Amino acid sequence: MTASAVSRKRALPRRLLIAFAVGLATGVAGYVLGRTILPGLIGPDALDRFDLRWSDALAGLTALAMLIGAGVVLAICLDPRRLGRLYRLEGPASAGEVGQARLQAAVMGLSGLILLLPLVFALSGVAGPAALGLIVVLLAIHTVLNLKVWRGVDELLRRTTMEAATVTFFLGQGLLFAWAAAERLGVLPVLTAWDIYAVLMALYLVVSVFAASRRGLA
Amino acid sequence: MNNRLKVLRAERDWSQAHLADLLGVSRQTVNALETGRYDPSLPLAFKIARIFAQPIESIFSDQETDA
Repeated sequence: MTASAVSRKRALPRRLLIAFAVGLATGVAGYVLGRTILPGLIGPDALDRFDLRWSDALAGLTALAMLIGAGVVLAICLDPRRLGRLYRLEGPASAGEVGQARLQAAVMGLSGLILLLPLVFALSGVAGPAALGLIVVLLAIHTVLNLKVWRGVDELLRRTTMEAATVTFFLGQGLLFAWAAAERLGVLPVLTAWDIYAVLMALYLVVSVFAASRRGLA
Repeated sequence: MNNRLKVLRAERDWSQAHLADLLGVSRQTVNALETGRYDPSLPLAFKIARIFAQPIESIFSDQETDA
């Protein structure tokens, strides 16, 4: 085992501990917000009016995580030295590296927004065709930006993306097969396309973070 | 897989940015290679060997070779 591998192995428990602490703090804050602050602001039964499903909550949380992640990276991009530290570079990030990081963050933020919009439009009663039109336009912009990112990065990021996509595919198809079998046997309820997409995006987000951390990109 | 990239770069007093420019990759990739977080593609491994004027097997070694 190389010295850097040993050092990474030692750093892992500390990073896991930090992640656990952040998760715990966020969970407690969310609970307090949902139980005490939010009902006071919008009324105690406001959320009960909407027919919220588990997939709405999953999609909403995934979208928020993407939006917050994008915001954090964009904020770090304001200081090239901090971006350099995040990427473990020698010295500050160059203008090109800052630009690429900004573009990637923008694409991640747009992914979160596109995931959140169907939920927001459905809950706020915006007309279906108009809402769908806007979402399709944003999806087209997102696809173009995604291609731009893909063309602008080298083999490390491309391989990391492909690894994340591969793991997500196998986990997703395994999970969905199990559900489909249970659904066919009448053991579990029928899934909608929205349910499946929410699960896939949540899986992809988690797997992407692991894949990027493994390569030293996050 | 292990590699001697960091040592070879230090011997030439090259920065990560200089090596990244020579290889046509990002500094993140150079860093990931040096810290053993990423094994290069075959074309990139050949390029590294050409730049350092050494055979691939003198730069990269697998665990069995090291054992």
